[in-house]
Amino acid sequence: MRSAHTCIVLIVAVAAGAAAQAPRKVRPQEKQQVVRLKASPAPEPRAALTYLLLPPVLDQSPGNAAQLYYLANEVAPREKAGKWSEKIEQWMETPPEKLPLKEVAKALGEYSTALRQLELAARREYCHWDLPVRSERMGLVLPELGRYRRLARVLAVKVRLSTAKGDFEQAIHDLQTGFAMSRHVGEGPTLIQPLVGTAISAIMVDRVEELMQAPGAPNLYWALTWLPRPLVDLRGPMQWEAAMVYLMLPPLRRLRDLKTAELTPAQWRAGTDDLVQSLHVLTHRYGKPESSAQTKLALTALAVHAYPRAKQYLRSLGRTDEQIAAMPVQQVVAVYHLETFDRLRDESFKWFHVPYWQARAGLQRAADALDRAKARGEGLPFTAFLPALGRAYFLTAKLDRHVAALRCIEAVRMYAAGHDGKPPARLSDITAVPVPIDPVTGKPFAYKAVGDTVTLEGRAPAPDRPKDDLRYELTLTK
Amino acid sequence: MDRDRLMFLAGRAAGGRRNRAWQCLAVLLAAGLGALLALRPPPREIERVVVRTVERAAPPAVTPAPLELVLLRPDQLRGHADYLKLREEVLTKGLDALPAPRPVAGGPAEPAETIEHLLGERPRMRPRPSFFGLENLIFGDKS
Repeated sequence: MRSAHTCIVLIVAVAAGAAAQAPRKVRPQEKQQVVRLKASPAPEPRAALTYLLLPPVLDQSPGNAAQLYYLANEVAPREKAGKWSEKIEQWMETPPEKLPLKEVAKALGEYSTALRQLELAARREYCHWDLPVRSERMGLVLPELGRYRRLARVLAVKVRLSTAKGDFEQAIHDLQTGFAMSRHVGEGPTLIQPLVGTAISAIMVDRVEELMQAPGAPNLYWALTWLPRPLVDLRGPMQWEAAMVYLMLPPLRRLRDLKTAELTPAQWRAGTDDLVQSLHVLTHRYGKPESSAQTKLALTALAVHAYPRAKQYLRSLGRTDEQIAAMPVQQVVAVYHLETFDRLRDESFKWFHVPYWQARAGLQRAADALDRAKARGEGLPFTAFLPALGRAYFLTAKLDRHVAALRCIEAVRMYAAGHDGKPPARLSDITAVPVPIDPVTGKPFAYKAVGDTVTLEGRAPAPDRPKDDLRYELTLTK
Repeated sequence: MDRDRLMFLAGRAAGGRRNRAWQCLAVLLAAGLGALLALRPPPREIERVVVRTVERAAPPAVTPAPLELVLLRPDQLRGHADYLKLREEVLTKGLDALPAPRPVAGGPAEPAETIEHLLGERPRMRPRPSFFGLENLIFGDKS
């Protein structure tokens, strides 16, 4: 019986061992990617907001978009594994002018019903997936997110087809659908949803980049400027992610209060039996459990190791030695680990409410502190459920940087339209419209103009990740 | 003899005989009392300590509330664990870690079912739109 009660502490040691032994992955050699664009000068449209990349309010209709997205998924062709996706991938890579227009149009016809549902959904006033997160917690069934990503690629092919035909109105209409879908899919209680939303938006921004290069394409500076920033917002889902451990193990909220509510050792033991079982289910499925005997041995050792620090911690909270001595060892150690977890979790999550370039250093510090704590076996097993979140935030900031860079390019095209096709020598020469800063660094983009070619560069936050650099080379054509 | 004159003189004679001593005494007394009231010192506060013995009700025996364990069902916990695993894979490997959409054995889906299919009826030929009967005038009535 006693050994069963020590499981909560034993599991800590398993997770601690796993965290301490996890090898750091070495990234393969990465190279900076350069995007080369050719585009002609283009003035601001006569009415600045002629083109918008999200459905304008006049085109929206009341109601919830979610059921229409579910319908789109339902009526989309269920292709043989790989067959359609190969074609779609192929057409995503083919230059727009070389697309087999008839074949593409025929293939898109198969998706017309699904695409129509997306078009309607994107023009609904709001999207609420109504996921039963409060009852099912993170065990809820998510919508088929991979499917929406695939539908977004089909929609992207449609945009490419319209761009190739020079039908900019239709291309922009479909881009509105894509951007609205990305924001709708990104709304939800899990981190995965905004990441899928970010991926869909990234697909659409690439299409904007293509459209800008099409002969006679309108200037999309204000269309890009009217997109929300951040384009996909992590703040909503992060509230749920921060509450994750307490969602999974609701009694832990009471455990925190036990600092002031006295429980007898017998009550404590009775109460924690089931909690230990829950942790077993979680760690068994999520982690790599040791054999029962190994686990017990290792965790007992860890409990002995952590107990002095845990006692000291409780003393710092005002507990007397007598009170601490009256508490079960498991409670002392568990409260210590849970409080440590809370502190480490908040150190990460607090940064999601400031812009990425201001949050980056703090997020890195929090990630380092988390690594150190895991290596020391502090806050476990709860910290084992905390991912490194800096990368997720960077992915959304990277998307915003992509949009900001395209705004710069459109500002250059606008400038050139009024200066005999010549680009500005410096970005500061552009005065007609504001030139955005790089949302990743918080500084202006590096800019250089040589003849008719300009380069625009945004640095990656981590120097060992050149793939996260952004570099555009724009050649202005007549 | 004037009666009224006589009464007046009698009255005056009676008034002149009145002793004013008691009047003066009354005035003096009133003035003395007024002065006493005006110059009276403020009343002194007297503190009294009243000791009352109240019987206190015995406090209810404090028994700590049992640890309420509203634990998730095992299937919910397994769902949680699956989510954690998926989240980790997405963060480390990217979105390709998401489960692939369900494929089917056949090709593209059947076209969406019509109402006639759903009701088990044979599809009917749709009548051509009528332009206020003009087509009958032009093409002749075929009904």
